[in-house]
Amino acid sequence: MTAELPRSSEATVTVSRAELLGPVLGRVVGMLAARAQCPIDRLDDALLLTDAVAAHAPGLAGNGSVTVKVQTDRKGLLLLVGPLPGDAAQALVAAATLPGVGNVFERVADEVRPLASDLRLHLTFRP
Amino acid sequence: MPAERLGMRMSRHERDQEPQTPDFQLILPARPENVAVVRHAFGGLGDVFDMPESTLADVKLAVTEACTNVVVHAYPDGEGPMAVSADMADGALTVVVADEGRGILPRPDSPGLGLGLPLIATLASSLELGTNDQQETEVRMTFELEPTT
Repeated sequence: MTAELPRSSEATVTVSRAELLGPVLGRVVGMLAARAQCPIDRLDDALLLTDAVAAHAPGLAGNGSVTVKVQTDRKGLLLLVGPLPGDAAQALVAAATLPGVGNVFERVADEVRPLASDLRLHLTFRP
Repeated sequence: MPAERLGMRMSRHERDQEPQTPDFQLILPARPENVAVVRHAFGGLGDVFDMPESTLADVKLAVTEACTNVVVHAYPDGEGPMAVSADMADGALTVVVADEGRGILPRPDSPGLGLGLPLIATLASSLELGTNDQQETEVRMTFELEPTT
């Protein structure tokens, strides 16, 4: 039996209530990652990223609302957090540091790129 | 069956009726597999808002029906966006499902049984069908939330 290759998926989540971001983003990323046949260890990593974004992005968003664009394909997951004001993308990366663990984004994601108004996080599911 | 007999209102939704930013908005391509994503996302809202299980089940079912309508009817010639937003205020959850498709029209060749909108009208406290000021088709549902005891 040959499994059909999943096509790419995308979703855009915007919340203005900070407490909604974690529960909603985690579910959306979980479903899109599962559809992309994401290995279970990488799914766990994906949810670490969404939890870190949910914990820190609302406090750094300029207008109080946070938008996260989610894209998945067979190779991986892309999260684009923004638009963020000023140096907020850098600040979001810095905020995701845990004592004894280090920076969650940099430990887990394969690419962490603060852009002018967004934070780009890429997680590879498989080579 | 006329929409009014089903407890629905046809209206144009003006921007000044809207909150600046809804509590939550999810935009996805109108594909069958994404209806389940929306449904699952509403589970997160249910957790945060501490909604009773029965109410959450009604909300999920109504939202599933509205999103299925978008997937089946909105874009007969291709694919387009499906936007779902939710806002909690004064003990009521308002959910809006919007698309940029051809609008809510009678369709003699409809593949469905035509039960979606009547079902939503039954589940929701109020239901409005209309267009917003961006000419998007909207299904607007309000659910009165009973306090959990």
